[in-house]
Amino acid sequence: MIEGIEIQHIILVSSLMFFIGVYGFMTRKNLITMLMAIELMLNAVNINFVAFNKYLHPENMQGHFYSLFIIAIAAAEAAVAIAIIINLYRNLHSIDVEDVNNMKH
Amino acid sequence: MHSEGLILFFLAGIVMVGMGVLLSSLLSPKKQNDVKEEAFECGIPTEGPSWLQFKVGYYLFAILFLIFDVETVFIFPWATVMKEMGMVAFIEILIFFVILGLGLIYAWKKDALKWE
Amino acid sequence: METTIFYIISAIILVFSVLTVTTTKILRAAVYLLFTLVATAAFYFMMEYNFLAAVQLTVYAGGIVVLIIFSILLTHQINLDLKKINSIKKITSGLVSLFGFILIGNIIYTHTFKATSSVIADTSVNEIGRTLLNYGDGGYILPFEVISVLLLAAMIGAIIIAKKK
Repeated sequence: MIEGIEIQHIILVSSLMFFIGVYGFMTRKNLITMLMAIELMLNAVNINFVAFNKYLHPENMQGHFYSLFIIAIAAAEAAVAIAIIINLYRNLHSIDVEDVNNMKH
Repeated sequence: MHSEGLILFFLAGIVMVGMGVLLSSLLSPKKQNDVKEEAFECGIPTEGPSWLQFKVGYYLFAILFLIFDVETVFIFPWATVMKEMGMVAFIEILIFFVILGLGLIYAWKKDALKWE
Repeated sequence: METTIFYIISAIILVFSVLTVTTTKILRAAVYLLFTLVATAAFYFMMEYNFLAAVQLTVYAGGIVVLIIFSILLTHQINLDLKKINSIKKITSGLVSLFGFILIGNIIYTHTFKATSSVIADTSVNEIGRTLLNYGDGGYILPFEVISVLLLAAMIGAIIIAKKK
């Protein structure tokens, strides 16, 4: 627990961060920057889990382990997503979402 | 928490680095000529922009690095309790290793580790 | 004192998050994302989850951001200025995000949070290892093994996609 800080402040910061990620996801057209916006959202969720764990249920560590597994899953997701993005770039020479409009190449 | 020490540490870092940059910019003579703009010592002058695309094949190494980075993270807590938990923990981590070892063998067989 | 540090870190997180989604240079966006992730690790350090903070630094800052920068270099867009988005789309997305934030903020301020216990769990790496490998009640051995299958699937998928000629 951080001394002198209510749980509301931490959750407020993390939800602001989440909605900044949502804004980025909606306005960006480049696949890599969209991936960055998703990472921002995942990170905000992680802060939430840790804050709830530390402030409301400090006697066990479920939030901590959940964040640990989310980080591992985010890594796997980023690996596959970037493999797809680079393969798209090879085929289309662009990574703009609006250029990706056929299913099979 | 010993925040006074932390703040002192930050201030000392800022002052030391800042003074270095500030003093060198104040005291150094400033003369521009063509020779100074060239590449230093070795190599040939560059042609065209230096922001170039590099070979696509290299990013497989980055992806494999990321996967094994995550694996390391999960092995680390096991390593600290290996002795006290004994055989059970060892078998559990063995399953973990074998499953990820399959991936390494697959990458090897597919020539993903070849530097070409 | 900790309050001040908390507010400084929050300011860093929010400023760099906004810069990540609004800057027009893609490489800068990646570097701002890195700052945001490091500041998040500082949050975890402040809440005394040292292992989680270390994981955040190694996997996110040391792995994912490096991979993102790598992909930017590979797709030849270092100098690329991102396309300007039309302002109608900007305003609509901004309003949607703002509305969502107001909704969530309202819930946060009207709900009363109550701690269930004042006992604080031990968060040393030893204790984390013991819980992670425990197959009894409250153990996390199943997700631990499933994660290895997930990583294997991600690795094979990435190789198949990348190797396709």
